[in-house]
Amino acid sequence: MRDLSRVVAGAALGGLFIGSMEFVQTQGLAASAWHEQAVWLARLVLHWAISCVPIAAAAVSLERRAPGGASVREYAGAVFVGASVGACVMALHGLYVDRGIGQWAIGMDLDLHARYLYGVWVLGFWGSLGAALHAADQRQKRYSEKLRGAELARISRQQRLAQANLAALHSRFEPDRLLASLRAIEEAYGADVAAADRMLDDLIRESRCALGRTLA
Amino acid sequence: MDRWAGIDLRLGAALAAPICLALSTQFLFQPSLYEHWSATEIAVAWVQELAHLAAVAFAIVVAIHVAGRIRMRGTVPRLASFAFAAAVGAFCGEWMVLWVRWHAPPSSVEGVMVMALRWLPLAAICGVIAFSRARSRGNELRLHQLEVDRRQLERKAIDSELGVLQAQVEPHFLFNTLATIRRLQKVDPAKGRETLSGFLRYLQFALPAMRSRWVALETEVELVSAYLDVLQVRMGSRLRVEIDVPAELRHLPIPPLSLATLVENAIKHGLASLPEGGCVTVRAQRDARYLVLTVADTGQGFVKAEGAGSGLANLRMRLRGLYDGAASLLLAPNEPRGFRAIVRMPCDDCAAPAAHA
Repeated sequence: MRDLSRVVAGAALGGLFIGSMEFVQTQGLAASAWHEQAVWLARLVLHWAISCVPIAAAAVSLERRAPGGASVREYAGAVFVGASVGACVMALHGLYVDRGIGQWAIGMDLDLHARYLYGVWVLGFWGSLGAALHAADQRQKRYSEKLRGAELARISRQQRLAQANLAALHSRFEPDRLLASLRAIEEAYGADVAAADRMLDDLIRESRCALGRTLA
Repeated sequence: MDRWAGIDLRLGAALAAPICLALSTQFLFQPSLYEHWSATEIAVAWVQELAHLAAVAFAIVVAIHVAGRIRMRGTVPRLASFAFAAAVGAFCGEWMVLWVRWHAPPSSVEGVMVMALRWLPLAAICGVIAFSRARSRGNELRLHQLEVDRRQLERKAIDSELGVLQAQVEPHFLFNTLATIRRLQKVDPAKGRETLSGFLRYLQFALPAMRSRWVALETEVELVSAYLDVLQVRMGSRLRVEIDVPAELRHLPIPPLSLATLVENAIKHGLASLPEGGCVTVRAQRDARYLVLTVADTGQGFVKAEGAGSGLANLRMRLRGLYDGAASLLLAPNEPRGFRAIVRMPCDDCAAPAAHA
């Protein structure tokens, strides 16, 4: 369903684009009253929208088959098939359904073969440009996604690093404090052995705690 | 202005050339136009058409290029200036080409405008492609930068893991030494004090070395001697020590407390519980591009005691982090009895491989 709506949207966009361009080129040939011109524009848009359906379908199926981005060859294949089939649709529509289009579109009445060739060129040309646009857009989207993933990964790595650094900091003695404590113990052994023993016990307990923290 | 740097003449030409070529084939797909022409006439018409298109495209590219050089703030005025430049370029280009082609200025401005209008959707599509290309390139550069950052962060993460591992050794070592001094204090206070003073003197200069990533083998040997002195006072003749480190190897860098870990392990799990004691041998040798440290004891050999091996596991992980798999720690029975730990680490004479990373 989603694919179908994408095909319809793509075909409508293509029809609007090519139809309005053809309208600009042929508007002098159509009647001059504004409502007649509007009808003429609508007919052109419809005419080309129908013709764009195969190329839109090819693009959507290509997207589906190569979600990681298609190669130039795949794009070219999709445009070729889409344009060839679309030109058939366009020629048949202009010849049997809306004959006015066939006569006015390029200012002359063309037979089926000539209309087909004309359609192949128009659809192939604009289809190729559309494919180039699509490819550039897809490429940019892929990069954006990759970039977002890489930014997130960087943040989480930085967090992990900060945690590891914190753990390392926690587990360490301040060298000056350690040496000061040992010096104090050394001095205390000269004066009050029991106090010195207690201080040494405290320091041992502390080093044991530090050991426990690093192993946690 | 950097964002528009990608829209230069070369990119314009690269986009315009295939478009002109494709556009020039349009009349070839309408055989009714040339059904009465000769092959030469068709070829000339095609070349003329191609030249016409190329000239107009050139005018547009130049106009956009000039617009891109004007200093301007904001995306909307910038895009508007490009659109305007494309329109002006297309109109002027078509005007001039028609003039040259028909040898007279075009009579109808509207006719030229219709000719020029067909270029605008093309210019718009090219603009979108160029814009998205520039953005992709910006993202590509940013990704590359992130990849560089990632490598640095990984290096830092390894460093900080090493820091944690090293930090585990230090309190362990302090705890064991202080506990030994404390026990000694009970038995022989004078010896205890002497040992404490010696240990303190040693720590004053060894502590900074213990904190660094690398320490000279010499410093490490001094630490081990100080530690063994402490123990020897307590164990007396039960502990014999042999240290054999050639002078030419003493400057080589090794991970701090690595030798101390091995010696401590040898005494704690090898000799301490034996009434008759034994001998600890510390030896450093050079084997081609490797420094080989051996710590052997004549203790009780492999006995699974509680806590045994945590120091060795720590050392093994540190070696892996520092030498990236090029160093090894081998444990083997000693002949005729006891236990032997052998560390092999690569050493160029200058420094260890990761020392300056």
